[in-house]
Amino acid sequence: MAEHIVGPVADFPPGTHRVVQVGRIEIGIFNVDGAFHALPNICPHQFGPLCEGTVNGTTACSAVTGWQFAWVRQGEVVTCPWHGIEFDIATGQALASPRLKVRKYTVAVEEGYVKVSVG
Amino acid sequence: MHLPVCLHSVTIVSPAFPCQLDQFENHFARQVLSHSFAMMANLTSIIHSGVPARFPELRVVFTEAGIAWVPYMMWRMDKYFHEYRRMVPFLEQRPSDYIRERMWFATQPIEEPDEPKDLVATIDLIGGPERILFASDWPHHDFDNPRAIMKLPMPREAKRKIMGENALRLFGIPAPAEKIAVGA
Ligand code: FES
Repeated sequence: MAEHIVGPVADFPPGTHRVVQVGRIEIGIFNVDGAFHALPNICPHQFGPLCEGTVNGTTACSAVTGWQFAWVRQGEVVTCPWHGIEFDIATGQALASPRLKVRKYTVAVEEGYVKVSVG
Repeated sequence: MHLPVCLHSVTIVSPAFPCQLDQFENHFARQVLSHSFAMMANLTSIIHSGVPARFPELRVVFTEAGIAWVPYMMWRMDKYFHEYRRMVPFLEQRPSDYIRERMWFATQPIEEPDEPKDLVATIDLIGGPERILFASDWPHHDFDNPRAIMKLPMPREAKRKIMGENALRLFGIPAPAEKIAVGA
């Protein structure tokens, strides 16, 4: 398991995400309210550049919302730019299907740098 | 009462639902499209408006459109659910999951592929013999003889379900004391 420095933490402010190259792999680094997540930049659907998509919230509608549409989870969902499938950044799980999931890389902030473990 | 809702495609072969059937030259085309398109529209309507989420006890039976259109709609709705989940966030699972748990499909007019085993495979795609109800539609022109099911290469237990046991359970009818004779 090799650890790679992908940049100073100041380059990844809260609410932002960007794709970095680690060896031959493209990885999306997400700062969700100070919590870092790293996902592969390849969508399990049809191999689109998942992490180049928009980070946003999503809709909810259930008995909890009184069957009214509500906007929830702002900043926690990335949408693949190709066919718009939504993924939970914290788990890598697609919201619409238990069968679509991306792995997560270990990411940490140490001494002012963001480090990703690939292996 | 806990009775299921049964959908019959159209009261008559409607000229306007769900597509403009008058555009076709003859009844061959109208017959091919009317029932199956109507059932696809009904199923889509039920899913897109969140009926299974709001009424988890509700069971729905689709009749008179055969069954082979169902896997197509399961896959098609799942595909667009993946893309458009935000528009239907009340759905807690994929459309195909709701279909396999809450919906039943009547056989008539049963599809007749060259290889009967292909129809058995189709039934499995829909969730297995538990989802299928025999219907004859007698005395319409395209009625099915019960033996249409009997000749399918399926276990006897599966045929018993399709020929009656599923319906007894679904409609809350006590099973007759006498065993229903079903040839293998
Ligand atoms: S490739 Fe990502 S949604 Fe299709």
